[in-house]
Order: sequence, then structure tokens, then C-alpha cells
Amino acid sequence: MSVLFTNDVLVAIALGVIGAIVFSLIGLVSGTDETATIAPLTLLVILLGAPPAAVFTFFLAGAVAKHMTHAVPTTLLGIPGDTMAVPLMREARLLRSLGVPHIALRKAISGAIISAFIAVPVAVLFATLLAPVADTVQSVAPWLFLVAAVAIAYTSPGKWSGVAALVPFVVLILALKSLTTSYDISLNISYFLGIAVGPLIADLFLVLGASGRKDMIRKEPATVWLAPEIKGWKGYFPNPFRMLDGKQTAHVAATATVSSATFVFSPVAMTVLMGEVVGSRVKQGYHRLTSVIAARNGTTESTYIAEALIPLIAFGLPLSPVAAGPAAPLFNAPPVFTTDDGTGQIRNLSTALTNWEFLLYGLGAVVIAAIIAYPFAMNFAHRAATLVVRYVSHEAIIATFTGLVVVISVWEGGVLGLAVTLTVGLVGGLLSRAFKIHAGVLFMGYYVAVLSVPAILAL
Amino acid sequence: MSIESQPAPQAPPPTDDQTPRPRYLEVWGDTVVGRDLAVSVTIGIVVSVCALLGATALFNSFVTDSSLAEAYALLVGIAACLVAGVVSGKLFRPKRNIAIDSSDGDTVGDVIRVLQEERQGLGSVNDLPAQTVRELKDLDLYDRFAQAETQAHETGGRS
Repeated sequence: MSVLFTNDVLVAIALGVIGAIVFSLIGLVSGTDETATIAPLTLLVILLGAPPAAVFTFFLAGAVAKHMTHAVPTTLLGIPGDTMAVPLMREARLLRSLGVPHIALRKAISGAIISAFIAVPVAVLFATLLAPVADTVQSVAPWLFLVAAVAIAYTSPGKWSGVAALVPFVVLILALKSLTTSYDISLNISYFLGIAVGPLIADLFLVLGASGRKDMIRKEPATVWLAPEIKGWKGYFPNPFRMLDGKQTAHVAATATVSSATFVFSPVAMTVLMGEVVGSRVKQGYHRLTSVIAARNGTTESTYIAEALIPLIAFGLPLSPVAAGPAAPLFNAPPVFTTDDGTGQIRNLSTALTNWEFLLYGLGAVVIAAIIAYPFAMNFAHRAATLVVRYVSHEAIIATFTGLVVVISVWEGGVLGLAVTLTVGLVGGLLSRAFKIHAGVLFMGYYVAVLSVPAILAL
Repeated sequence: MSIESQPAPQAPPPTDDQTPRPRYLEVWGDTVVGRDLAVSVTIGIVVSVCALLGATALFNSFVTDSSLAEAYALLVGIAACLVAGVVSGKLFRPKRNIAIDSSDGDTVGDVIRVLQEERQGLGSVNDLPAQTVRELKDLDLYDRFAQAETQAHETGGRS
């Protein structure tokens, strides 16, 4: 389908630049969840027929850029930029109280850039080591997804209630699949989209009625704390190694390496854990705050990179929370990419690129994101954050996303596509609200429905 | 802390008792006004669907490869979403109070107390690498930390 594009490397660079710019800007808008933003836009790039290398560069440059600029609202406005920024909140708040939010920002994004460069080669290396067992993994994939779904659901705050809530969700997916099949329509994207923007869809349904609206009423508009701008910067491209001292750089490098190997765990949990480990090793209080925020934001990069790269390279199956969430289109975006829809066939990004290509395009994506997002966040953080809180209304963001949901689902399956997205989104959004299960759990539920359930029924 | 309130022009906050019904709604993590939200969502849906369906019909009429025509139509639909966002942004101002830290009160002291209560305590500035010592001095925080440390020693608290 690569009719729109020709030269792979040039297209990869171009899309990497676009991804880095778009997601640098999205990162500035607080509360823009990764799955809800990265998955649909990556899907779009795939469907437009971009070559696999360019799709991968777009995805990775975007994710890396977003996890740099997400530190801007987190440190300067005191509101988490996205889901991965939540673990940074405590250190960000304390550093802001010390009157040094700009230090928090510099430490966080300098940790990110160093960590991203380490994570790509480490993840590729680790994936290469795991590759020999890939065939075994693929043959037991239906059961692995079942175990992974239960495990990920169990790590949600609801524990077993999260696991139990997954059962009706899986049944819903199966029911919708057979409904659309009866009309000779096969849908895929509509499900992912519904899961990704479920919380928005659920909120929009609830706000329609008086009883749902009751819980959403606020007396005051949300308060955003805007830290004062503190100058102290020369040149355009700062040196990240000057922002961190030697010990901090070592901590970032170590946590990046460790979190690149642990690709099966929740990225938020890894971010919290790595911060705790670093915090327990730094004695002085101020040094602890700055070291932890650097290591944590570094982990948001490394764990994302590894959780996308390792399943892609080693297994070809979305066997990690990131691969099942924001990176889901890299595995499954029919008709371009498909992953084992009962046939055992894998034809996705993992089969399109070699390990070397993953390494080179991965490093390329990090370089592009570093060149674009890092100096941008360092130099224009304050101005950009101010512009967003003052001039970009939440209504505008919601208008864009509702439009996106309707366009993509109608495009895939007409009215039926829209119905599936709304159903999955409403149910998924309500489940994630009531049981505190995040989108990654629901994505796993989807894979259980299409992979594990047929295997269970075949017993 | 000074709070600089920026109420939206269309939706002043309820001030008198005759309008006790609060107007703000928290949707998807931020506050909006119901009527503005309804208009924005309508704009988002109508503009993007019209663009998608119109573009599909248009491209199918002269692009021979139907999958290519569909890809173009999707692109137009996505562009329309952005247009809808810009239009809504122009129509409705953000509903947020912006508070600017003026760092009055002893917030530094508060943070130092929080750090002292952590398992590892406040520690000592003598353990810091030279670069971080310089950083703390540039920020005028070095003396505060050093002082808090000696005080903690004198009162027998954890250091």
C-alpha cells in the first residue's frame, strides 16, 4: 500500500520529524494519555501507507519526544502531562516549593534524553537474546495472553475485581465480533480506538444525563499553578551531561539499563520502582529530589522504548503493556499489519524490519526527538506552558478527539464501526473508572477474546 | 500565593444566590462548561464527518485506486478534526484559574521538613558532588540546607 511514499530512509526521517514535532506539542497539553494520542496517530500513518521503517520512526520519535515535553506541565504547572508523568508529581511539587521548578524540568528531560539513547541498544540486545525462544513463545501465545491479561489486571488497584471485570469485557468483544461478521464486516481499529479513548466516551455519555452530571459538577474551574520563569540559560542546544552531575548520570544510566530489560511490567510501576531504588541510595535531601526526578523521567523513556522494541523484535506479539496499548497498531492495523487472527500468521512491523534496522531506525528516532524536543523543552518550556493553559480550551481538545473518533471509526466500518467504537469505549471507560483498570488491561482483554478464547474452545 | 482568576467571558462564575447551580463540569480531566462542550462536540462530529464523507465521494470520482482514494479521504477527515479543534478554540476560552507562585511563606522550610521525615533523612551537604554544591549555591539554597542540617544535629533529630 506504499503508494503515497517512495524512498524509505527519507520518508522515515520526515515522519520522524513530524512525529517529534506533533508529540512535543501534544506533550505540553496536560492529561493527553499516551494510548489515546500515540495509538490513533500511528494507526493513521500506517493506513496512509507509510513504509514500515517510517512507521516505526514516527512512533518512537513521537513517544520519546512526548516523554520529554510531558515534564513541562508536570514541573511548571503542577498537573501531570500524561499517565507516565504521574510518578514525577511528588518530586516536581517539592522542587516547585523550593522555588526551583526549572531545575526539576532540566533534570527530568536531561534524564530522559540520556536514558532514551541507552535504552534502544540495550532493548535490541536483550530482544536478540530472547529471540531463540520466540517460536516457543508464539506457539503458546494464546495462553500467554490469557496469563498476561490476568496478571496485568491483577496489578490494577482493584486486584481480583479487575480480573473479574475483564470477563464481561471479553464477552462483549466476542459478541461485537460476531455481530459485525454477520454483516460481513471485519473491524479492528474501531475496537482499539474505543479502548484508547474510552474514558472520554464514558464522560461524554455521563455528562448528557442529570444523574451522571451530578458527580462532574465543579464549583470552580480547575486551578493551574504557573511557576515563575527563571532565566539562566545560554545558547540553544544545552548539554544534558552538564544538567546532571556524575552520580545522577550514573543513576540514570543504571535505571535505564535495568528498566530496558524488564519489558513485561507496567511502565508506571517501573517508573515508581526505579525512582524508589535511586532515592534509597542518595543521602542528601535536595540531591535525592533531583536524582529521583531525573531517574524517573529517564525510566518513562527507557521502559517505553523497551516495551515496544522487545516484543516487536523477539516475538512479533504485543506481549507488554506498551505493545498492547500505545504501540498496538505496530502489531495490528489491518489490512496493513495483522497478528495471528486465529491463523497463526504474523505479518506486522516485526516481520518487516531486521534487528539492525530496528536498532538504526530506533537510534535515528531518538536522535530526531532529541534534536527537536530537548532544546524546545529547555528553551521554550515556560512560554509554551503558559500559552497552552491560557489559550487552548479543553473544549477544543475534546472537539478534536471526538472528531477523530468518529472519522476513524466511520472510515473503517461506517455506522457499524462507529457503534462498535462507542460500545467498546463506553463499557471500557466505565470499567476503567469503576475498577481502576487502565487501557492496557482492556487491550489484553481484546487479545484474550481473539486469541485465547478460540484456543480454550478448541480444547 | 496570588490567584489570578481568569473566568471565561461567556461563563462568569456564579456569584449570587439566584444561580446556585455550578456551571463547571469536569470532563476527561479538566473543567468545561456544559453548553460550550455540547457545541464543541457537535462541531467536532459534524465538521469531521462531512469532510470525510465529502472527501470519500470526491476522491472516488477521479482516483482510480480505491484504497488510495480512501487514504486521502481519511487524511482530509483528520485535517477536519484539527479545523474543528481550532474553531472550538476560537469560540471558547479555557476555564481555568491560573495561580502564580509568589513563594511567600516558608515553603523551603516546609520542603526541608518533609525531606527530614523521609527514611534517609536530610543528609549532609558534605556528601554532595561539587557540581551539585555549585547548583545549590547558585539557587541560594545551599545555606538553607546546611543550616537545617546543623540545627537537626543540635536538637538531636535525625540528620
